[in-house]
Amino acid sequence: MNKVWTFGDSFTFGDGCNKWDDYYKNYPKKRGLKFNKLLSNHYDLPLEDFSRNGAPNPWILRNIVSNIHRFEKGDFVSINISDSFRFELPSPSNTTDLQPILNQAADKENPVYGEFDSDGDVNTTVYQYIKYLHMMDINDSDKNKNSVGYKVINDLHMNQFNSIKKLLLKLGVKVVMWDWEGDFVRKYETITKCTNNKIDNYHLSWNGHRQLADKLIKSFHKGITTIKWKNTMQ
Amino acid sequence: MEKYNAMKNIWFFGDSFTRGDGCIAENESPYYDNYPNLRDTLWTTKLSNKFGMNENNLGESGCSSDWIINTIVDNLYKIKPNDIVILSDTRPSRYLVPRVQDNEIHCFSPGQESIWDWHIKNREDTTKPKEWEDMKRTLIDYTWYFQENYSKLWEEYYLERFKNLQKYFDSIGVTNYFWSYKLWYEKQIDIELISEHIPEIHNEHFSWKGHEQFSKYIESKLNRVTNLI
Repeated sequence: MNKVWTFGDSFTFGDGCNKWDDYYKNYPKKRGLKFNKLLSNHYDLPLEDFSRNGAPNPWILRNIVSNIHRFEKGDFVSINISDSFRFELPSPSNTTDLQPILNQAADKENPVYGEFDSDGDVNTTVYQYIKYLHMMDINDSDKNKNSVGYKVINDLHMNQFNSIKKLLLKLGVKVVMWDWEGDFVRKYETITKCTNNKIDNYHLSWNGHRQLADKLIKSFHKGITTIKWKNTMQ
Repeated sequence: MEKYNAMKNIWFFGDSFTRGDGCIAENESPYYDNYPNLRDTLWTTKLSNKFGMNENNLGESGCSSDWIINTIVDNLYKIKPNDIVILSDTRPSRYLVPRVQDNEIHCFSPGQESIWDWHIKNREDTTKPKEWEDMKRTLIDYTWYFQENYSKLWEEYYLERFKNLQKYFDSIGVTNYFWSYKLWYEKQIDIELISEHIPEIHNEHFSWKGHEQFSKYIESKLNRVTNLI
């Protein structure tokens, strides 16, 4: 049986629209469905979702590859590409999985290493790793995307995504790759906008999910396999 | 054997033991360069010839398992039913980092700090000697905290990814076999190395005889895999 598959980070996970979120709890009349459930309903196919908040591209790629043997001709696959800065490290508190490291870890004044906060030496190593190796001579977090390291890693990730896209198309799977760079957040309604700034969250509102679902359905229909938003840096 | 005759491509993914380090001309190997009369073919070539298939050897010297997996993923769309894929992992402590010398992704292997020194010293910007030292220190610390300390986690992490790729190959009818780097790293099988053949050459890769032995080993494993299908 065919399926709708969605892979991605918080934009696919629907940050802000889950039962524990203020937006969900305080605005019940605005509630709708996340874009992946809307796609599933539109095509009347079961949904398989592989998304998590803060997902780095290696995590997303890994989950796609883990499921390649399950894709069938006629499936629909949405691939939400994340920020190429993000990477994964082993965590002292979890010996069975890797921990995502987000952009906040590159802020020298107020670094956020999550699980690594308990060990100063490890924290320093994470920060130094980002500064000297991962981003290559980055000076502050705002310049992540201008760093040489970012470009090198982004190229690596995009090559992998494009190779997977070629395979899926060869298998007869309909695929759309998209990210949340450039005008994405301005184009679709965010939770911040929906709540008139009462909740500061740049992820999609219920209406934003509807808008994105419409865009993806049109892209699947037209055979557009990569959505590029205007003003994207990379 | 008849099953293989219809196949067209045989693919090899792995590290220097797949690439054939020590026994290939472009490697500036004294074993290859100074003993031309001993020369033979690599285990990958022997298997390709045995099965009458096109050899696609995508092994890479000193690479990490991430690199190997990325190379497989980049080639998935080219691999067709009835092809054969031989894949192996490598030491889990190796990892990918952007390289300052040429702004490309590089595989770092613990013990290669001196190579990193060379990369650092050859940077165009020669005004930051302290940062060079910081970079090298970072590399050593990172390797210790996040690679060596978690070698079991990394090993399982990579094995899981190889298994998933094998599931895909199984699903499209590609005969595949995975062999572990432990075969050579822990000397789990008796394969002659260059240093054992010519003691004055310090190279721990397969000798020509080792290539013959290893091709036989993989062939026997492949026959077992295909008998199971």
